[in-house]
Amino acid sequence: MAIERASIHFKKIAVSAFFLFFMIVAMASFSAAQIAPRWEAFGGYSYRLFDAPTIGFANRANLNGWNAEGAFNITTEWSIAADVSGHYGSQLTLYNFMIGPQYSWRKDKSKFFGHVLFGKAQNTVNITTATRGGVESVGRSVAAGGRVRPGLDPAIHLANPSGLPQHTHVRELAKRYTRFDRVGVPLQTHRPPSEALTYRGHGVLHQNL
Amino acid sequence: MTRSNRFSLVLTVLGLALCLGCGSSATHIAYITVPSLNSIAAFRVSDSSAHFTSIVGSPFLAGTSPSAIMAHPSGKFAYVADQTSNDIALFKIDSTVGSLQEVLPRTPTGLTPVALSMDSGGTFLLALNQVGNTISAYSIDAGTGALKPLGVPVATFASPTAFSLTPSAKFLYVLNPNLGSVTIYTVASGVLTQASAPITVGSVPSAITVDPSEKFVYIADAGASTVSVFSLNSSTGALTFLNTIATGTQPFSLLVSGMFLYVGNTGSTNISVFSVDSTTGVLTQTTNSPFSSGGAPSFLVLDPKGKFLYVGSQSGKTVSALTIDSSTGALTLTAQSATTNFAPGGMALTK
Repeated sequence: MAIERASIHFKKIAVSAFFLFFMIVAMASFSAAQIAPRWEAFGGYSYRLFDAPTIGFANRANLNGWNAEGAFNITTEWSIAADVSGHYGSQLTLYNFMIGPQYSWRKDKSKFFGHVLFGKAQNTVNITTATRGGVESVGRSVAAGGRVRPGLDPAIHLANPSGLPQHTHVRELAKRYTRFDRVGVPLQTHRPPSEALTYRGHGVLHQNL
Repeated sequence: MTRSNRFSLVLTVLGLALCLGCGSSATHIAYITVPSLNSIAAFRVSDSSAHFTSIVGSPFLAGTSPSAIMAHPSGKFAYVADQTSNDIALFKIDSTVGSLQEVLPRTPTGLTPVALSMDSGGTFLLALNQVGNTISAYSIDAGTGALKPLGVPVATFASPTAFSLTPSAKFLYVLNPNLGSVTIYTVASGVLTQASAPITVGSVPSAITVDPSEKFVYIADAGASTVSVFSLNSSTGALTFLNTIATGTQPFSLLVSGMFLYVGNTGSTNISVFSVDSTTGVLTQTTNSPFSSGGAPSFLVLDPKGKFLYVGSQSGKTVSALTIDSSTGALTLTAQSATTNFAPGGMALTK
């Protein structure tokens, strides 16, 4: 059965953005001193709280999934980050593909950074009707977030800079971005490999085309 | 901190995050037939505010010109009478989303089914066939919702337009506006037997309903713009006239809730509210009645909590929500409504 598809125009924009990212990667030269690595990668488990009542569900949906992000450091402060995630529920499947600028502030072995990402959100509701095998919505995604990467013993830096537990920080994001919460736990750390754990929070706004 | 303690802390944080996502607001689902679109519009409705949220995938395709709709008491199935294709469509209701999935094939009825009725246990379904002048009866499979005919359709008098089944499912009252009459049938597990000759009840009887206590039957008369009260004999089903009271212009819908009777007046575009004396059946119009209905009312449906009255308006192409004052029966139009873009035919709610 047919599933509704996104507009071709928006697909072209998304593909173009990813090509631009890879072009910058291929053409840039690393001129600064070797303070920051050229590449940084992040991947791990991700939890997403989906505002399902807005599409007629009775309750919000707790979705489990994964998240992968890569950052190419143009300078020691500025990077381009690309983020991909997938989240799954019994009747919901959500994919996000985003890219955008990232600013990092590094001190000693610690790093604080924030980014604003833009891209595509592809959501599928797994219901079967007389004419469709599922309902798919493809729209824009905007994400703003940040991360604290502890420089010393991670046990001391489990809180965010404000001193509050990280889950409260995520909740505050949800109040500003009315759609989603997300908490991620990495399976692989950034370089240098001495840091064992980081926490991240994101608010993601999904807008249907 | 050791690695295992760190991992435990991670799980604790995640658990707290999950708990932040817990909890839900109470809702019910409204299914509204839209005959012009051959579809059913589905909305999730807040129990507290009557806010309508369209359910993903809505509207759902039905047969040709769906009119009456009923939800099975289990909340698992919905039945839709298709006036032009002369059949009943069965839908399975998704318990999480509330979406509808039709189960084919459809069940044939007589010509032009305009009304449906079901017993409170959901064991049988009746369809009133206006052009065919018959009533079709079906048993309902509790597991699949499938319909199975109970004998051949039972004949009625010419052009029946409405009927009402008593809560005990012992008697069925069928309106014949052309004759100005009502016909009584006894019901035994869905099998119908005519119990009496037609009884004259008015000039153009337009709506009928039985009160939940089975003591009274109310019949609206669109020609005289009145509503009449009859006492109901619980042994024979016989009706005895008690009194008549004036309503707004062209009453076409009735609803009894608690101690109040609500009458939808299509001509005067409002709703008359009457208190009911539980002993004598005497109707008394409440203070400030009639109330604004948000459009010419074509059907009235009570929400499961008894807090709101939903009013379908064919001219307004909407279903509006009105709050009910439980002590006075007074109605107040809220800002909540469901837009169907075309005239709604009927409405059913699930809890």
